[in-house]
Amino acid sequence: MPRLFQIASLTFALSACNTMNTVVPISNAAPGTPGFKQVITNSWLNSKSNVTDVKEDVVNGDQKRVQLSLYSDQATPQSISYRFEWFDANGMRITGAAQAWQTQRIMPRETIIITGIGPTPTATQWQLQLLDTNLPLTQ
Amino acid sequence: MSSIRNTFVLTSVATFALCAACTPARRIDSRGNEVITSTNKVDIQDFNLAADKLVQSMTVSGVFAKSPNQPAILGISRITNDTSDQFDTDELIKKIRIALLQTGKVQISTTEGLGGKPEDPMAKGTKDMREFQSGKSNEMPRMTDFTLTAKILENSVSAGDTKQTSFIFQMSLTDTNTGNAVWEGEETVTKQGQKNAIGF
Repeated sequence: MPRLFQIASLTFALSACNTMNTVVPISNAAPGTPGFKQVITNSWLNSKSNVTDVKEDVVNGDQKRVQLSLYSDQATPQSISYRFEWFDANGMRITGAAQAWQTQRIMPRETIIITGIGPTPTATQWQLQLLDTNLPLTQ
Repeated sequence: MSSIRNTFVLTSVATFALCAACTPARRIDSRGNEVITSTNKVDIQDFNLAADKLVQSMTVSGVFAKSPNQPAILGISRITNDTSDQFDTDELIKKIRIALLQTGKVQISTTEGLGGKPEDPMAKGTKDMREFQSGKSNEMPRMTDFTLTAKILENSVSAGDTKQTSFIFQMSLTDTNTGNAVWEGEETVTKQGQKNAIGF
């Protein structure tokens, strides 16, 4: 019986701890420092989706594109979910028609690349949101 | 002491089970991570995923930005649902239309449609009347620069109790000046499991 209680408690605790990690660019990053900041509220999630690199360019003449490299330090295959949020120059949120959470499988010690494109030419700022998808109640 | 502990454990487990089992109806974020994932039909998040990826691919290709007419006019041609799931293909196409319109490089024609049937007959009638009244009805109207066709396919397989279904979203963009496809995209969404579940 205590074992059942432990499992139930652990399940409940894990489901309650699925907090989000966020990545935002740093516009005035000093030379030699990463041009992004990771806001980590979930260390477990960060261990399987640590952002190691961010690249930005412009496609179609005026649409910002961002590419991030995510590294998993885990020894087993993992799943994460992510979505990009876009903002205009004033920091106002721009809602895209199809922007939704996307699931990505990441193998042990693998670096995956995810890409986002601003939905409008006015989308100049971005934010990446990361969530865990390996939890018992959300799988 | 032991009976108190057992009572506490039993109460806790019962409370937890009740919390987990009895979920009252509520509204959730359609783009969020709580939507139901099914194994045998195209879910709302599948449309979101496919539309997002296909629009990204179309945008990166730069076909609209290179069009001599800016913004380019896009006509929606044949959209085929070849899956066993009955759904309105606008669940996919509308998302793509909105996303393309947001880029500012494309406008969607609602007065030209497949088989000469306009999507918006009232707009077509008004446009024709305006052209007639302005004496431009004999002039060649601006035609669509591109047409979009799409097909959604299904591939199902199972191993024991586990079912796997792939929905394949194929799309082609044709330049109406040349009649040749200038962009093609394919996005596959594969789902595996024994039963529907909440979440990704």
